[in-house]
Amino acid sequence: MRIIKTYIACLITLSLMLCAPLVQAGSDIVLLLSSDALPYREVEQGIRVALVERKDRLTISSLTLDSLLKGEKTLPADHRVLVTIGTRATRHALQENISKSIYASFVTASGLLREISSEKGFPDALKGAVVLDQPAKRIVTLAKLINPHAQKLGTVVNGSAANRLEEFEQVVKKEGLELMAAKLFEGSNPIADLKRIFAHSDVFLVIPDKARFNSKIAKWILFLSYRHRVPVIGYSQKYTEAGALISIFSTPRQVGQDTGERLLGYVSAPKQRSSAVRLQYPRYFSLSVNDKVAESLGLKVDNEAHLKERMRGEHGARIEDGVDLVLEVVGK
Amino acid sequence: MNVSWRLALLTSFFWTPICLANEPITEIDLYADVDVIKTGTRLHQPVMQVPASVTVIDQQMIAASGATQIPQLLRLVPGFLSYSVSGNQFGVSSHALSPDFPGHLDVMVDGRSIYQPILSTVIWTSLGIAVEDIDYIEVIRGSNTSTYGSNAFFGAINIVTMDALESPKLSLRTLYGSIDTQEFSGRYAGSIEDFSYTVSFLTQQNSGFERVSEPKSGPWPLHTRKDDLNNQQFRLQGLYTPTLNDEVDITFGFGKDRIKVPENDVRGYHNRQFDSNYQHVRWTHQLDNGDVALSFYHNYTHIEDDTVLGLLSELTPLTPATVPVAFPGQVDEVLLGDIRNGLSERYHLELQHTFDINQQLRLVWGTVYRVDRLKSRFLLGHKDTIGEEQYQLFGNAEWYFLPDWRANFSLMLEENSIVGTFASPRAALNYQINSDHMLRTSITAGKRTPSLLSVYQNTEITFADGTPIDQIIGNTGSADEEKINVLEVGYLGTFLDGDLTLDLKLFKEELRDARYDAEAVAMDLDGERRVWRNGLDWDNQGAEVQVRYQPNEQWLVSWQYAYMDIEGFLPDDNDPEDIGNHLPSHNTSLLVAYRPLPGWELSGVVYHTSEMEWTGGDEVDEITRLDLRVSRDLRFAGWTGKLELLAHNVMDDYVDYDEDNHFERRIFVRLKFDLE
Repeated sequence: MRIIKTYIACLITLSLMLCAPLVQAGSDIVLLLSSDALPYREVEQGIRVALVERKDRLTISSLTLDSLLKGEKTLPADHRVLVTIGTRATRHALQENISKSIYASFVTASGLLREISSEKGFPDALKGAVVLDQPAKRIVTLAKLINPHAQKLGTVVNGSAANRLEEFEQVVKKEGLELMAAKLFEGSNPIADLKRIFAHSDVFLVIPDKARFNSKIAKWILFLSYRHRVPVIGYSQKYTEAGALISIFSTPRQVGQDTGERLLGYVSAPKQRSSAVRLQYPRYFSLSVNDKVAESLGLKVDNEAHLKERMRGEHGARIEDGVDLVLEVVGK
Repeated sequence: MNVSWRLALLTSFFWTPICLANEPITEIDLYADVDVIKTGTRLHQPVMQVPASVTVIDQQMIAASGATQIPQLLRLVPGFLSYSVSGNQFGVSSHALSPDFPGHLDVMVDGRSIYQPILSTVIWTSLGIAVEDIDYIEVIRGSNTSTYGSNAFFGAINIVTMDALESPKLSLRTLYGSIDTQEFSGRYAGSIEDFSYTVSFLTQQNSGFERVSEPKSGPWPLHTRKDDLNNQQFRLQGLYTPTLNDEVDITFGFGKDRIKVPENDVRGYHNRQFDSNYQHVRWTHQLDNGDVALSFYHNYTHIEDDTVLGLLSELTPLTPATVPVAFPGQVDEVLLGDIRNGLSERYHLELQHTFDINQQLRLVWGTVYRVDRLKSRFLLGHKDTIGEEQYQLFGNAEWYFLPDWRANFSLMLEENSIVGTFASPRAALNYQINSDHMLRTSITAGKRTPSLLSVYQNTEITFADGTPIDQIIGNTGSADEEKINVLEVGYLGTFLDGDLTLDLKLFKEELRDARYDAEAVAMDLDGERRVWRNGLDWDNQGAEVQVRYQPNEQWLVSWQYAYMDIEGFLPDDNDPEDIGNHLPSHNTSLLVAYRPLPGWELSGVVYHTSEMEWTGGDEVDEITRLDLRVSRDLRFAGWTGKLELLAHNVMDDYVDYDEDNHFERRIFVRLKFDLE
């Protein structure tokens, strides 16, 4: 019983520590976070740092979607841009039409496309977006660097990521390579399909899908990578830690920094109504190499900095800048 | 619990709608974890979110340790004791007393519990796997009854073997060295259509401890130990994925291992042979929201134990002439203490359903039906088979109630014929300070059904016709559940860009009503016997630290330390025994691995245990043991291999558990070849 009493006392103390005053202020740029979780705060931090470093006289405030929904905070009426961070915040802002000028960040292209293709038609308020996806061009360039003799690149997609396959096919074809791809459906035998792809691939690219699919398929991909001695390019630090040779991704902080820098451009010269919205790939990205996997595959892979240097050298600034998707909006 | 209620539980799983939605990908999908821990709560959770202290022994640590037997690996877990009851009988315990047959940890191989009801422990030589078959070992340090039930009283160990797809096509390994060690194992990975499989075998021989610490005299003096091992195991593991959402894992195995165990100072050693087989099938179906898993396993072990105690006149003050006087109608004869034709069996059926209620709340729940059966004329005092049916209903809710705050609530309801129905809850709170640092606290009120043997044991020495001579150990006819209350506070942090991880745990445990064998009066030859009863209490408090530092691929440093303070007494009417020294105050291990050149690895592990008294063994001084290893990678004609020189205990000899177990320096050579 003594343990239980001590425990309850600790819990009460801890609960009291959670109560903190909530502050709100008017500002030029309002950041609407999908939640108070760490990745969203890191994006916010990145945006703030980018704006502060440019020494612009912009005032910035932030709030979470929950605080807005609960009425604990309100959106300043005089804001110039509402930056939505994450899918949930973006969805709410677009569906509820809470701002005349929305800039989306930290969302995926497919997620954003889903939101803006709702029945209400294209939201005029959406002025631009920095998406999380890495451009196919960047990934294929990396594949060629880690295996200069590669002829065939392999991948599998599920329903949610299938719309990226065409983009990859075009890029791979331009580079004179061949893409071995399989679409996995509910009735597919994943191991049989993966074995077939791995048997004919020199590098395997993981195109991120829904987390459930990613997690399930990751085990088979990494096992077969080892068995077939085919390097895997993953999409997150965690994928590298799990056994991919290398991963390419943008951290929340990088996405935030990129968003902040692009915001500066937008705020100084806001675009007029146009027939296209730019969904911009993240300008900044990171690489993480798993040296243990490289050793087991008998590969020598440069360190991250050197690899990025080579990616820039061979493909110029386009690698840093990414290649923006220009969304032609039907009926606009 | 009634039958209709249980049926409702079982059938409810099949009503869950199964569909696959084409949902958009979000940022959550891209940043989701790939590496996960499951043993803590049955939910896939990153280490930072597990509401318990976790130790993962991965392949790199397994190789660097130079371990040749699986229990040795568990010395790399803070607070765990791994010991040799005899040359080839091993015990592993944590925070608990250390009898010959420890049974307070749930040990699983790929999720299959390998607890043997007949001896209330794990037979480590019967696992059916070699060290090289292990992918990793996941250890939950601390009571996990709320997740896995009674046996996880002080923790849970899940030994995860290499998957059929992960294994090299052909792998051969051999080990030769001290104590006449000869081991050979092999594994072949193949596929038939869409069914991937591995078949593996293992043969082991050694002669056990080389000699006793102090030679004894007698008709069969124990100058030379004979606690040897002869082990053969065979295993088939398969994987079938008929659809994207379905996975079927199967494991079948059988084996025969014979060990010799010390009998007494008179007769020397006797054979104990385990003929075992097991079958494990697990089907996992991915739902649109979560998954459902159905698993069944069966463990079977037949035990032959040819213990020969000796002539009655040798064992007692009786002479051949006075035997017929004390036991009319009997003559002096050789007495047996065997478990001839012993049977130990477990059937386990389990359904588990995992799903998200919303973005903040995840739930896993399920139900288990289990039957344990055992038979042993010697241990139970009769020839009948006894059985116990158990029902379990478990659940764990993970509630992400505030950003960076996670609560886990676990509950295990168990019902069986021994102690009726009882509950083991746990509440835990994790606070993620940032992506690198986490604080957690938990409180557990665990309960454990006493082992079948401690409830029904009734062992006595008899003449060949069954006439009783001497009662050894019996039972009171009733049993209550053992209880444990645990408070834990933990910290997990990463530093230096993830190169260094620090895991710290402070704990306080109150164990109440544990089973123990107490002295009792008997109307027999020596007037006394032992009786299983509840009533042993003790308190533990202490700290555990785990540090892993891997700055690059050349270096790996892993340090484990546990401080333990135990207070309690073995109840006895006349002279309660203080058990304050039944756990070591300090227990630590330090593993260092270094790769000076490509293909070469040097590694060493130092283990230190402060002085203690082993519950079933002897009081021993502090132990310091150093193991060293040199490894060289080999490559030729499509084969990759590894040649290792292993030196166990390169420093002074030490006494392991029992004063007769004199651990000397041991040298081994291990050669392994893989064909991809």
